[in-house]
Amino acid sequence: MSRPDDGVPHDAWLRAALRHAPDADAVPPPALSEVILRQARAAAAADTAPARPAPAPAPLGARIAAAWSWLGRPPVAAGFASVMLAGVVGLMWWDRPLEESLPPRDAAIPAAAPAAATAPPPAAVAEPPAPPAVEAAPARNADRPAQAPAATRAPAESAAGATAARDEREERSRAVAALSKAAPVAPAPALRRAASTDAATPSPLATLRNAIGAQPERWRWQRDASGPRAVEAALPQWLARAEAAAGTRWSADPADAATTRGDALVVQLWFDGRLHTTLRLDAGGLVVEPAGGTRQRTDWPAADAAALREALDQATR
Amino acid sequence: MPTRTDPDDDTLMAAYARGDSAAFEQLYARHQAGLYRFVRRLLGSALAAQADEVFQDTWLRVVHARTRWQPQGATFRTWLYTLAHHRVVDLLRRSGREVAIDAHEGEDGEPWQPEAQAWQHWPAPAAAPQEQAFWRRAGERLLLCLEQLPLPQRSAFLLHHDDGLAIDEVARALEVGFETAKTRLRYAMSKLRTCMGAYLAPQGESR
Repeated sequence: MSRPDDGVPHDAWLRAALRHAPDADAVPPPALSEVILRQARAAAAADTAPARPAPAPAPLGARIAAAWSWLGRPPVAAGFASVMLAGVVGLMWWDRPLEESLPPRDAAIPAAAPAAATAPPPAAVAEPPAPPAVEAAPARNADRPAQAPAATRAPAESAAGATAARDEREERSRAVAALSKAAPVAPAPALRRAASTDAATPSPLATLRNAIGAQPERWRWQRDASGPRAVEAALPQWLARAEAAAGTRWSADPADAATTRGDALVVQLWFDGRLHTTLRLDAGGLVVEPAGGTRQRTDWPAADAAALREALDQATR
Repeated sequence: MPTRTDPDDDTLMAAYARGDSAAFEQLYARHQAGLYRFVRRLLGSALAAQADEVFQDTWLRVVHARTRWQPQGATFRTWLYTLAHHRVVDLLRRSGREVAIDAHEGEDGEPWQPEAQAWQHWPAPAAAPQEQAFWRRAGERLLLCLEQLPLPQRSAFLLHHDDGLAIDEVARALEVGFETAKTRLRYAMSKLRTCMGAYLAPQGESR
């Protein structure tokens, strides 16, 4: 029992008493032992975790298969398809004007009119009001200031322009651009005169003659104080003759200007019992005065004036 | 106690320092009962409730110091009891109890010598079954006598007689010199014999 080299031998009786003590068989509670062992295992695991070798990189085929399976998942596939669709649409609209990518808006066209009206060119301010036929022109013409004659052909192009919508939009774009560039610049006098002539080109006599020819039974004429009379073939023929003599030489005749020369021959044309147009033929020319409209005058040589006056006198006698 | 085929404590501790948790489990199974008993008897009945805390704290110190531990002269078991002793001293100081460091000297400066007269009536340690009641009472008395010993003598006696450490191992565990450990042990044994002899009636009178 005792160790000889200790110098203090064990006391057998004390050791026997220790072995028979009430706490001789005491052991730590199992829960306490479990806590200690768990902490010891956790510490050992923490030591070994960083020492583990890094897993070898997967082969290329396995990585592609993994990526494909990842793309095959519904949420990922839906997102990928959305991105692809957005890319295709974006490429289709690439390098196109922004307006083309928007739905068609007719309101965008008259929107340019106020801009032109707010800053009209000086020539347009100085010009007299246009004849009724010109006023009936499409509103698009109002967007165009006194421009080159080519610009005045826009209505014809528009009529024929039921063509491709794309050409029309491009034309609008060019017109707006031309308007914005030409507005600050006053047109030259020669150009202004040409514009005035062109504006009077639609002859009021031609308009009137066509209207009578379409529905002659609804028209009446009256000379001086005589009562209204039905229209016969003589009056339209005279209108055609006067129209040919006037050509395009029409100009606005202010209402307050006494432009009639000498004794005028006055003929009134009635439509459905209402005064439609008054013709004043004097020694120098003809004044056409639509009811409630703008008067227009044309002058011709004295010989022509006398012949036309005689012809009208005979046609309305 | 490990058999000849089992690895020794130092080998197991080295394995655990390398991350082998099974090695720690072997160490724990090998020393848990002795260490728990050592802590309980050092603390005594007054601080018995703190035994679990000191026991757990001792083993966690082992866990935390696993990578720094190296068998430099002392065995794992010696180091383990050193850690436990430190924890007990800390606890006693926190509880306000005085821990006598120099408690191995007698009043006359000489170690106490046991009196052989008091032991002659005790039964032999290898008692027959009919003597078990006597030894149980002796064990109970011994625990009371241990609580009367100063902590240095108590720890020296327990390490030497209960845990089987040699004097030099006791000295290392208590971080004192060999002679100091031996003196503490002799004082502890002398006081315990006196305490036990005064309590236990001679064998002839107890029956």
